Amino acid sequence: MRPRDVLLDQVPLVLAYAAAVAFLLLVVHLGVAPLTWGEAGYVLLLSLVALAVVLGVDAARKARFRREVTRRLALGPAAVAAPLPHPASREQRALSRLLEGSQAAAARELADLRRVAEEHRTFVDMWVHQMKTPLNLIQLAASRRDDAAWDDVEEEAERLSHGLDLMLAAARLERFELDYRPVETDLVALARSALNELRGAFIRAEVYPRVEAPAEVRSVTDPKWLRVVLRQLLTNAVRYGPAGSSVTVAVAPAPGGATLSVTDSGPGIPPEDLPRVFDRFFTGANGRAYGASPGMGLHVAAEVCRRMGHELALSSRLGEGTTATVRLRSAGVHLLGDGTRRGAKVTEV
Amino acid sequence: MSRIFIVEDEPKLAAALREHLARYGHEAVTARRFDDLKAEFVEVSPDLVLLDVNLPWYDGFYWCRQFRTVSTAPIVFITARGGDMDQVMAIENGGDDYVVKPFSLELVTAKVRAALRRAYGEYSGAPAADAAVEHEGLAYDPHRLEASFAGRRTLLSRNEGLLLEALLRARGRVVRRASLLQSLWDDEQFVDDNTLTVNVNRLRRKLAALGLDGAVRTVRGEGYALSPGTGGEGEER
Repeated sequence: MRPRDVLLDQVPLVLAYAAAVAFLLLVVHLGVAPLTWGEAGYVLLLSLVALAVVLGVDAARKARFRREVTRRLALGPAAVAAPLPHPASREQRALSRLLEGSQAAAARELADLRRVAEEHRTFVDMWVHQMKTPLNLIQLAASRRDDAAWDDVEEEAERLSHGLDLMLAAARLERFELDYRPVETDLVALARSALNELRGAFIRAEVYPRVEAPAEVRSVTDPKWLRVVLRQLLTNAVRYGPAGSSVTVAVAPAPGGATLSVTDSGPGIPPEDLPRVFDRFFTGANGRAYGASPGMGLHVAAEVCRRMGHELALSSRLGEGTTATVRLRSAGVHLLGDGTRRGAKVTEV
Repeated sequence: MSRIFIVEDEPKLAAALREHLARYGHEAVTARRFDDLKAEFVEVSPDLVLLDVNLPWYDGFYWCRQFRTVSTAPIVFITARGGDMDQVMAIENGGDDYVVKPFSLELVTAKVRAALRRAYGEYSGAPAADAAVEHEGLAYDPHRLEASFAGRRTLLSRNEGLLLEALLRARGRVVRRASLLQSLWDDEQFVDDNTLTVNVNRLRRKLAALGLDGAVRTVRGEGYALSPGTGGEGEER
């Protein structure tokens, strides 16, 4: 509030006061004894001084409260509204109480929502882990039988397993900053181990992996999260790669980091779908044709990369295949946001 | 032969582990008294423990600390959580290794074998998987990569050995190409269909040198079967 605003608030008082003094002077002038201009002016001057003093004292008394309001207004919506200190009038006190009350209500509601979200996350976490034992039993039963019908069971069990892992990853993303441990990692070993985990899927799809990499490529990343990304990219490559084709995993050092790419010779992604493949719940033409997931896999992979300060890019040619590339920046210090959508910033050191 | 104590409260999973480890020559005992595992542990006196994290009464970490007060036997955790936290906890509470659900039996065997080897030396814990397999007179020793039949011997390559072992274990039944590919698949070298065909043909030549022409039979659209006793069709392609 500027001084002008303070004065404008008092305009009705000033007008009423002026009218009252004028009326008084008129009554005295007509009813008691005629006044000279000088006498009237003198009375007027005295009462104006009195008015100024009253206004000044009032303004000074309420100044601290007003200054605080002004300061918080300047801070924008992020500012805490209550409690407002130094209320000087009954009105200011009432206002302050009102703000406190509504803020407390909002805080309670927010805490409730947070608790519900946390409970849900805990539930998802527990439930998914609970489901792993029956899933394990199904997989073990299927793997002990060497015939094609059980292959289907094994395949579906693997799909379930992949889906559960994805669900877990999505739930854990919400508290990424508590679950992020970047360490120097050999990407070639990580890629080989991810390929080995998916060997059943590769063999069943009759798609064969090729690794194009030097003996070792080291970069800073969180291996457990990068594995989530890699598994997703490989799962997609196996799903879309035709039988007899190969999936190429290439790892190479790059200035200040490394790149890791997965190339399939599948149908490719239509250009109109390409900009949206990382969107949540997006299912493109391929997804519909292959009866695939509800558009979560690539979304989660991209989110994981973004939070780690890696970049995930997809390039594709229709009828030729798709390459997904993760660019890692090793020399960066990853400053994490507070887990909201602000994401990871990368600062070169 | 090693005695392995399986602490897993899901009975079917425990039974599957027990059966599998028994097939590889271990004496496996499944836990029953989940409220007093330490006493059962002392009774069993195992060479190695497979320990689930999620258990009734107390969790696996607690029991691991309890076991550690009376034994230094290797402890391999079974956990449903792949995250860092459980792995750190497993090691901090005295565990030696861990497998994450859902796991394959092959992985468990490998971890058990490695843990036994670390704890007791190279040969003490060597399970029967490394022991020779035999079917209708044709024998294979995986330690020496050596196949023998009627007094004659021949050395095999790693891949040929793996194929022969898988075929011998099937005891004449058809082994599908997919299963053979699974056996050949290696951490370093991924195999495609052609590699399989090439290795099967090499194996056939080696077996022919032992006097076993046509012992590896091609079952079209399925895979391969081994019948040392009978002659059959010749080399594929």
